[in-house]
Amino acid sequence: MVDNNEPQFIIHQDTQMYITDPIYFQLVQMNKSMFVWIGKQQPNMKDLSIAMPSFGSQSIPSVTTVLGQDISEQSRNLGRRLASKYHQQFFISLDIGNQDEMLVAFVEKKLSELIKKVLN
Amino acid sequence: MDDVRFPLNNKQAACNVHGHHTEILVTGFADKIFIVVTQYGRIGSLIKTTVDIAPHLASNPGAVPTTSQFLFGESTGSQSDLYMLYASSISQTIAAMNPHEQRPVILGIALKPVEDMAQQRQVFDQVIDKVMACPVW
Repeated sequence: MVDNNEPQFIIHQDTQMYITDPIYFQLVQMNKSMFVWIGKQQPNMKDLSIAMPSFGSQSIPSVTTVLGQDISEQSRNLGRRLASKYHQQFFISLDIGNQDEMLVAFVEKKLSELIKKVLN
Repeated sequence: MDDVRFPLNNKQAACNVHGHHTEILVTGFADKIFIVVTQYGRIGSLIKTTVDIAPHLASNPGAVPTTSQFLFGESTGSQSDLYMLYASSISQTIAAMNPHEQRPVILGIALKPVEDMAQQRQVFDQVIDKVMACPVW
């Protein structure tokens, strides 16, 4: 690892249009750990969930919500899937509301594409 | 859509403290300030800090009383006591720089344990300086 006093975190940003609204994606790539924020023009960090990949005899990643309530389990479900697939720790913060199921599906699809690009 | 900028304000810095690469990331959300300070390349503990009163109403904004709580990670022991100190000091220094800043600070922190008090102080001073050089407030 080169230590030259330059920041090592890599920040990836993307904007995707959902019908007429821009949805913003930010991924911060850290050491075997990734911070994901998805939201709208007014960028709030309303909730935060953390997913840890499974290890040893455990087969299911653990996930917990540390901020907000994540009543609809969006952040946790997403985190669990990502931690399982990429075997990394994921911090997930979603601010897209929970009314529109199609928006949730859209966000998951675009996020998967973005992460695939970043981690492969 | 060219005039619509990405809504998050990110600032990054890094320095070498006693041989350890120290990474700093500051992100301004509309409702929170997210700060990462790490010598391990990742977040170890998460602490949320709020100011008890609006800093501009305090007689000394840089000494505004704060409340911190662990959201994640080790919360007892001397290392976590140190992290609480970082959390309140960072919030107080932000208040000194901008007494009208009231967003809660979420601090993600992981530092190598240091025995010597003088060395701990050096790490602290360098980290606070670097964070204050990345203002989103």
